[in-house]
Amino acid sequence: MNVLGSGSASSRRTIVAGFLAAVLGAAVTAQAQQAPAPAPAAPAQAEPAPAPDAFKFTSDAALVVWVVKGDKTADFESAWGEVLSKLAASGKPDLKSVADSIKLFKADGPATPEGVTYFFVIDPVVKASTYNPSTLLYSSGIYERAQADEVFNKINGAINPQGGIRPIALAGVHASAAPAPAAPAPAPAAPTAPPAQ
Amino acid sequence: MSRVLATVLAGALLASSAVAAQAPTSAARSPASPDYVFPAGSALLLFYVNRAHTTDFEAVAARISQALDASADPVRRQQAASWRMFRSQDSVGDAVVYVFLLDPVVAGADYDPVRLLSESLPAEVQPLYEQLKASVIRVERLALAKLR
Repeated sequence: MNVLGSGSASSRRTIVAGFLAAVLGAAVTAQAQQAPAPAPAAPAQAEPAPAPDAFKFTSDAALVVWVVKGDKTADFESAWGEVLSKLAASGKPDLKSVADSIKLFKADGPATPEGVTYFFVIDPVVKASTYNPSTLLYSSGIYERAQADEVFNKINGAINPQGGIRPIALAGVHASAAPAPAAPAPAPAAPTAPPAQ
Repeated sequence: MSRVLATVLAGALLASSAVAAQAPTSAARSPASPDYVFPAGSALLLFYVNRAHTTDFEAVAARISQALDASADPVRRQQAASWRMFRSQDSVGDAVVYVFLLDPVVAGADYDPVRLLSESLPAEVQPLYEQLKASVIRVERLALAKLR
């Protein structure tokens, strides 16, 4: 079962479409998910326009909700710990910014029948980058393909397909309504020479 | 985001309640309401707000934020410093979901908005409470452990 999608463009589109469906309220089904596949040879016909990337946010902040199988939390945490560390250490400023903007939280308390809920709180969003897990694994350059597959399988195997992954765009609410700063005081007059005695 | 927070988080949420359940009191620093007290870590408060009343809700949130920022109580100022407020860009039915991230929580401090209003803005609490009551459909609270 493939919850994350793969490194190939076609399968990434499949999973992004799956995420969008989930965000819109539809269930993520096993049938909708594809195993990672190598990039196809020359396409026989023009491909349809790619679906929008649900992990490329234009908002100030975002929340990504992950529902993880209760017995796979260690896999999920170790895999993401490694991915985020590699992004932060990659030397590419955009990847470092992505890693720095993600805070990872786990819901406290015992697992529910659905599993354990994790959250990425992304604040502020790096608008020029995507937070798409497939892109981060396969296209960022932090892994060779074989390594990426290994991490992919670890994360993918941890996700509860019933809960899946939900990206949610957030706008900042500037509730700290401190009074607007007062107009600056007029600049002091230039010093003048004292009048001659 | 229809159903996202309602369904995905349902199992993980600590509790859900209507804001109307907590009437304002005039007592400063009355006993904390356990529903809004967290022992450690971080937390999310999710306010489901009637779409027609988001302006009212944001005005109350702004007053709470101002009051905490200006409080003489260092605990309240500490709460304000680690309190981020967001609005989901999608809706859940007729509700707009506001996500309040408390990171980190101030251990043992009371985050009940009505209590905070009662304590810090006693002269304004009744109208602000009415505004809050009219705008909030329900509140969900979730304690979090920060991993990274």
